[in-house]
Amino acid sequence: MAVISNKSLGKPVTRRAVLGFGVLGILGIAFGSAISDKLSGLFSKLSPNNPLSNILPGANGFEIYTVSGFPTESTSAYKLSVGGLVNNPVTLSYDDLLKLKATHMTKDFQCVTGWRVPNVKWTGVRLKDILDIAGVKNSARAVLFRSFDGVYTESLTINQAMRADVIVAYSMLGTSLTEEHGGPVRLYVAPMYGYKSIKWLSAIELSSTVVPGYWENLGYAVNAWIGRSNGRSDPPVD
Amino acid sequence: MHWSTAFLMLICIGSIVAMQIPSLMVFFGGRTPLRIVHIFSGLLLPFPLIYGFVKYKNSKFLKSDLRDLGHFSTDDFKWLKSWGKDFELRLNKFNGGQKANYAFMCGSIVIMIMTGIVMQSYTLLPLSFRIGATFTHKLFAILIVIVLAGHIGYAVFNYPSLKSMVTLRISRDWANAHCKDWVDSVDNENKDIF
Repeated sequence: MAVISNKSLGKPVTRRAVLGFGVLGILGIAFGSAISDKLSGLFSKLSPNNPLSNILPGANGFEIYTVSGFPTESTSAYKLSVGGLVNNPVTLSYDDLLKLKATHMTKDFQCVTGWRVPNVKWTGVRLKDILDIAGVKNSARAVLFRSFDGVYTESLTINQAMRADVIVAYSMLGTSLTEEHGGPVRLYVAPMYGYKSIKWLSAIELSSTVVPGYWENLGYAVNAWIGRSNGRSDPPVD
Repeated sequence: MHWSTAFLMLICIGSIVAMQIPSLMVFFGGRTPLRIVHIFSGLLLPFPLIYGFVKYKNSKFLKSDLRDLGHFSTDDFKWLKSWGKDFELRLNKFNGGQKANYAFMCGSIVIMIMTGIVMQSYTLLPLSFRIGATFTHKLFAILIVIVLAGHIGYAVFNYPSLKSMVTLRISRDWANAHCKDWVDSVDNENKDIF
């Protein structure tokens, strides 16, 4: 069939491309993190809601994770039950949550798989305030959280749950929580990896011992402090 | 070789796009299956080429094609400089654009697999390497999509050459107009390609 002419072959561009890209890859792995930091400064005006932030490299967008799917619940149908070892079990509606004292935070969201979204605006009610309404019994040592997806669960010790930077959030990124981010209501545990911040929060149960959550049963650390667990060394959120 | 690589590349792109769209992600059974499909189709990407190189290392036809595809003659550079308008140049079977696409894709597959492997090394390597690998992986993902869109675009707008990729036949007029050197080099016994 086709046999190329005797004319000289010319420059071996593909071989050079393969070798060159190989070197580029090593440089990218070694220095890409610094370049990425520079670019994320450039892209910082981009809202994490903007779809571009998921596409552009270094733009620090959210990766959307779910273990079940995307359960939908309207704000009017939403109910948050607080039970277990409490003096008065309560069920709060979305409007009840809005009436409680709001806490605003602007903090990073750090995932245990490595990505981090800087300066996310959060609004919600301190978990402590909600637990105080229900009245935690002295025998309670831990808190179990359930999602209305029916699958995901999470846990905290009482001391962790009482921290000022742990909130039941109904607003994120300046708007009410979207379904993909865990709306209408999710937990936000600022000092811990993202898997603690359970989406689609529907129930809070006080118990005498810590019951490991969904990912914790699959090997993640139960005490998920950012930078001090899961074999990782991320800087703490500010 | 071309179509199996193309198939794997589309699976790679499709699976990662599906992971970015929540409703599609649920449709395909969540993140984990898509992730596995993405990783495996990515790792398999170089194998159609490697298979071709090994299996046909004694085939005069494929060997000369691959050598031609991998090398840029001075005419190829001139053709690229004229943005593909200078058909007076006596080109071989592949034009400079096709060769550039081939070189870029071969290099990109190497870079994507390297960075992809680093991205999976959660505990072995320092975090900054993984961030760097993620960045490079994402950057080249965008470049690949752009180059691939161009590749498909050129194929569609030069429909006879796209058709020849399927039928393995090409019209003599088209070939004479686009790659005269190759037409001249086709052996007598292979004239039925036209």
